[in-house]
Amino acid sequence: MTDSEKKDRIRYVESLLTENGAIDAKIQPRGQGKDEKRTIFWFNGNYYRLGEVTFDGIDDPYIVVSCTDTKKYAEYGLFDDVHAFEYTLSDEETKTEIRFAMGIEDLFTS
Amino acid sequence: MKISFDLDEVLFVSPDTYEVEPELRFPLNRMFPERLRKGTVWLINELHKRGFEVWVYTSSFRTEVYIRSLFRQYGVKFDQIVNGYRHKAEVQGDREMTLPQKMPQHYRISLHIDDEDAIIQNARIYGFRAMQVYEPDPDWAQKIIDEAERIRKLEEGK
Repeated sequence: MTDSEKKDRIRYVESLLTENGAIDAKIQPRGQGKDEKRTIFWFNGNYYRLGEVTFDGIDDPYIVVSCTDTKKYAEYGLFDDVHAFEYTLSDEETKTEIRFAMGIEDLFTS
Repeated sequence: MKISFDLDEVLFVSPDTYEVEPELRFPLNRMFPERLRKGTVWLINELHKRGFEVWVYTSSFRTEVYIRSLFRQYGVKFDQIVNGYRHKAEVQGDREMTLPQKMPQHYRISLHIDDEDAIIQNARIYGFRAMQVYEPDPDWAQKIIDEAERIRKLEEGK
C-alpha cells in the first residue's frame, strides 16, 4: 500500500469510529505538531486514537487502536495500544474489529 | 460476593513453568505479552456464571485500560480493577503510615487470590480472607471455586 492509500484507510477507519457513536474529543495532544493531524475520539468514557504500528521482522504495518480513560493522559498523548489489525482487511472485517476495540461487541460468544 | 485476583504469578505466569492458555494471534501477542495460566478463562467465566463479582487487585501499575483490553482478547471481563494507582488513591490516600500493598476489605472483597506469603500473612493480621496459589496445580481453578462457594455459604449463614 502507498502512504496515500494507508492514510485513506485510516480516515475510513476513523469514520467507523464516528459511525459507531464516537465523537471528536477536540484534543490536540501537547507536543503534537499542528500538521500532525491525529484526531482523538471520545466514546463511552474512553478516548481513542488510530495510528500505525510496525513490528520487528514483519514488513507490513498494522492499524493500531490506542485508548485511555483519562482526559489528562489524552492531552499528553499517553495511550495504551488496545487492538491492532491489518490494513488489508475487508470493510466488514474492519467494522467488526473496530466494534470490538470500542467495546461494543465481543469476539467471543458465550 | 466479591472475589479478587492478583495478576503476576497468579493469572499471569511463565510458560516455562506453567501450562498456559493459547497465545493470542499476532500482533496481539506482541502487544499483550503476558501469558494466562491455563484455566483462567474457564475460571473467571465460571465464577461469573455462579453469580460472583470478580475483580482484579494488583499492585502493578498497568493501567486499567491495558488490563481490561488484555483480558477482553481472551473473552474475559472483570467487574472492577484495582491497580497500584487506584490503591494509592483510594486505600493509602493521605495516610502517613504506609498500609500493606493490598487491603481487600476496603472494597468488601470476600476472598482474594494471591501468590505472596506477605499477603496471606496480612490476611490474618488485618482480617481478610486470602487464598494462596503459587505452584503449578492442575486443580487450581476448581480449588478456587470450592473455596469461593465455601465462603459464600459462610457469609450467607451469618
